[in-house]
Amino acid sequence: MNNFNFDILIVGGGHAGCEAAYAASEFDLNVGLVSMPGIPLASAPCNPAVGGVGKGQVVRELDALGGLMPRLTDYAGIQFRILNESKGPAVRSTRVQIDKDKYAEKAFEILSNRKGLTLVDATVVKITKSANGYTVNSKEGKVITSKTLILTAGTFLNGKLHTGPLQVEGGRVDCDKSAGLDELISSKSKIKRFKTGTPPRLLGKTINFSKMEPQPSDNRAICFHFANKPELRQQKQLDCYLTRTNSNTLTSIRKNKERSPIFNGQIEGVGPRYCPSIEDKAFRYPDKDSHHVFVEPEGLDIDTFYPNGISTSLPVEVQEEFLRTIPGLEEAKIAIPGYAVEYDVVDTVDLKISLEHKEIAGLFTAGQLNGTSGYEEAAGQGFIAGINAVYLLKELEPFKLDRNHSYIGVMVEDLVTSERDEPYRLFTARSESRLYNREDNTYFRLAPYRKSLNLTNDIDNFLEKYLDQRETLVELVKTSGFRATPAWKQYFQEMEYGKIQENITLEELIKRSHLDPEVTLDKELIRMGLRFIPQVISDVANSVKYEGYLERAQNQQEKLSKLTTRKIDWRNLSENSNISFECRQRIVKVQPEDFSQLSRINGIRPATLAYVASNSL
Amino acid sequence: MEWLVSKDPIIACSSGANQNTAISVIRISGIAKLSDLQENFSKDLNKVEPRKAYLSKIFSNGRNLDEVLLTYFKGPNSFNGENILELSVHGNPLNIKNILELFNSVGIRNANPGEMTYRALRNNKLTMSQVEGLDTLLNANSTEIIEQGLNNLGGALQKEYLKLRDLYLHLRGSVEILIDFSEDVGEEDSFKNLKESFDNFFNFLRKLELRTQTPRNHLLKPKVVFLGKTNAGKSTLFNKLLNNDRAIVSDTHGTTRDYVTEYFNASGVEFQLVDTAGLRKSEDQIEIQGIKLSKELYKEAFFKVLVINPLMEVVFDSLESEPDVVIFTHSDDSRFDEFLSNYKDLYKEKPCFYSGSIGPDGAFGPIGPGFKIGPIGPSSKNGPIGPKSGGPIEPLGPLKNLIFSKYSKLTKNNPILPERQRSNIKELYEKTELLAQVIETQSDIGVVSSEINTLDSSVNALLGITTPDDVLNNIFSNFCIGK
Repeated sequence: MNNFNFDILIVGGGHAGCEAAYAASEFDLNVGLVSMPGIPLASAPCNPAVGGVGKGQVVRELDALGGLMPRLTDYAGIQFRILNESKGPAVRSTRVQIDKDKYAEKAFEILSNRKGLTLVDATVVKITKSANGYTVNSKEGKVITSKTLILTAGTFLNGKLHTGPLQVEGGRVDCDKSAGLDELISSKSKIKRFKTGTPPRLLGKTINFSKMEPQPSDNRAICFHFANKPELRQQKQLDCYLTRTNSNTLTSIRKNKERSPIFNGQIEGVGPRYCPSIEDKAFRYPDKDSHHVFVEPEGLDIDTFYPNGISTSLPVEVQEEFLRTIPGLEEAKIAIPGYAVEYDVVDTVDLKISLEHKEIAGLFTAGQLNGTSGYEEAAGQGFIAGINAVYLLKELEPFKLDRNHSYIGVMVEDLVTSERDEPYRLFTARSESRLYNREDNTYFRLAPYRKSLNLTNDIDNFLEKYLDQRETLVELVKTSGFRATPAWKQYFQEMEYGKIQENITLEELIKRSHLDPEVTLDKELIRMGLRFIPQVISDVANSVKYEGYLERAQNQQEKLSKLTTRKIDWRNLSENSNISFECRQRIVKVQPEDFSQLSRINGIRPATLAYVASNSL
Repeated sequence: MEWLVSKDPIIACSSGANQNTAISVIRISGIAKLSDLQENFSKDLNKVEPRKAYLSKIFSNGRNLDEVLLTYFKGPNSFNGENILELSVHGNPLNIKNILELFNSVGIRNANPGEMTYRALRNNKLTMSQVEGLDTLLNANSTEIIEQGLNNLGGALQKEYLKLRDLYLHLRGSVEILIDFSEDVGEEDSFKNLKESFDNFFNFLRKLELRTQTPRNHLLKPKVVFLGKTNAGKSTLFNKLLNNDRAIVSDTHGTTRDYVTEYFNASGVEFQLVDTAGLRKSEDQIEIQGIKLSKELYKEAFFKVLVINPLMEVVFDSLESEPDVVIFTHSDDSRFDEFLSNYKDLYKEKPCFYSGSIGPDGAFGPIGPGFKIGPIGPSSKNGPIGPKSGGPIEPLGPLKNLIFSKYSKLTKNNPILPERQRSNIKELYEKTELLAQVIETQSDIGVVSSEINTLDSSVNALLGITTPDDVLNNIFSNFCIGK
């Protein structure tokens, strides 16, 4: 079959594309996903891990919204970790090392059996827009038409790979670049060039793990998908290993500065400051001579390891040289050298909050093409684009997540309201409501949004049950408690709960600062012989604990929002000679509608903010 | 508060309008087109170039009102960014009144207090702290403060607040490193980094906070207050300093029932000198009130002078605030040394002066240094050697020097902060003190970070990034300049 016709066509089978296809095919529309032959769906070309600080929240949000990524991650997870465990539930996140083959296999299994979704193997060479939609031509001669298009081409848009002086065109190692996609967009908006990189892959049998610190999987870490249980991991669990660079490593890098494509001018694209290559670390921080290197398995049946922390585009012989200086990697053989990739990205201020292009109707973009980094960011946008393509066809108002309720909402708003100078990654700092946007209360936070999709699936049943139980438990902790009788005093002493002077409620007990709220609530529920969904217990315990702080933050927020929610007229500002030329240019570009959007624009000066604040009467 | 959004043309007399002066300056701001005012001028306004002065007559209904010098400042190149017409008119209050009324009659309303300057702020011609600098400048009483006003007008304070904001952003950044990057940076280094950033921020803020400890009026209108028992000789000293007979001086106890103020100048600074009702037990309600007031004045004074006649009954009621200087009177009395010893321990650390017999016609003895450094110069107890009352009083020089040196020390270290910033800094400082405890005790970094973030609005408010409502409530209420 060479001709296809869809309501929604997704171009690109990475994390954004797969999530968009999965989301869009939940409605009774005809959805297609076209991806390059020979590349597995949802493959993990960089580090073999899903989740992390801030990102773990995104994966859980996807689960509450009925997404794909959480299921795949749980299935392929070979090492689970809880990050920031000692720093409080608000900043605690889950990260999972995945078997990248199993991850891709599962993605194919689910998507190929999905009702309403057709997978098309093809290399797209041309996309044209017509009055009714889009026509896509492939190298293989396939012609695909669709009413709407979701473009998730990752780093494939004019991708160029660098390893030392070697330059190859392509989206990643051994893959073609995508040509002909950029004309459609570049006619309407500016294309930027970003850069990212990846470390060499090492052969496991040549690594001496006895010289490294093992980091075992944490069997307490909660799964990402609501129905999965930590005690029933679906794959055998493996260790990761920690080793460190030293002054010898850095010396061998520093003496090869002129051979680094990043430093000799060969690479022009802007790389992320938060994910520096080892060259960046060596030259930008000359005083530091040791960095962590996490050696991560890429799969159960794959003998390659990912040395996290030494991403590089130095020539292969230099990579070999500096690896030899790292404990445990003295004999390590490189399976695939590290490389940097430069690629084109869309300027996301040209997108609407629905991720549809402002000028090109029916075209959505998501993922790395939008200048983000990370599988989780890609999947989050894929979901939003998928739903909004559906909503566009159904003529509904865009599906939007409030930034105060979710990290995906934070990301999408950040992308469309402020100009980016480097790849965008989610940090918990990007959220103004970090104490609220936690992993433990994700189902509570996102339930109303999932409900608004009007679907009936297993997640919808779960959420209904979740909300019921949550309500019951909140009531319970506020109303049940302990009397200051000798028996309870004795009990408090045994449990190390502290003193009991007068009657207290369960709520007051779990708020005590020396107690872990989750553990305490769990113990008490067991004592009372009550069963709740484990996620409900964590959610309620932490929500009770944070109540006061949330209120304070809320007050502050309200005080701020007097200012931040104030509408501004960007057109007026753009013509105002009292604002510096540079700031005006940025204002025109982003077209901020309120003060908070203005204040988030990169490079807006305090003087401009002060001026606008005192004038937006 | 409608005027805050108004763009109407406004008029005000920018120089003092209540005295006869040679020239007064009237400003009209916000005029759309200069030629709209043609009917009232003899000069062809179409030929007026900005920033040049022209002679013109002013007409009211064809009648010649005054001959003025006019200068046009075309916005945005004017003091407040609007088109401004500045008229130098003859400075007779009646003349000024007539001219203002003339322009009122053609639809230009009188400016509200501060409105001209407010428009400068609105048009980004001045930052908040520059406006406040202007306030300081215009209300200054000394060259030091004028200089500070000029510095603020030049943006010196703004620079410090920008520095504070940088340190604050650094602090926030260090928490984020702890949360998002501790795997890369290492736990220990991340915590160290947080601690350091907090210390840097707090130390810088502490320096700013020090400046807020001296109330603004202390420095803008510094009061030198004399306090003492009735008949100790306060009023005499007061008169000597002022060199006139302003306070009523007599032998009768309780002569000064109310307080008396005058101004005197020391090294270019104007001080307000306050003589208070003497302290004693009294049944007289009016006098009781006077005594209460005396104590209050003393407490709030910038410079506190305690006047003691050691020959009278000893011990003083304990005073809430320590004096800056103690003056012992009646040093020419033969029992002076004997009685003085009662006080030696009490005021050991204070500069003390002796002064000769006090009385309506009594001579004023030289003032010598106190116990601390021992008396120097001619001994005072062997009779008066100072000049008679009425003449210039050189011996008071050391006292004046003390007053001035305290003043200049304070103004040097504590430049005057406008009220809004003063209260912002105080609020920020108090919040930061609490934050220090949170950082010390709280292991939940989410909470630490949330608490740090609550400082955001206070830090930004210093830079003027705050709601207009807050701005207006805080500054323009205290604000009375540039009519």
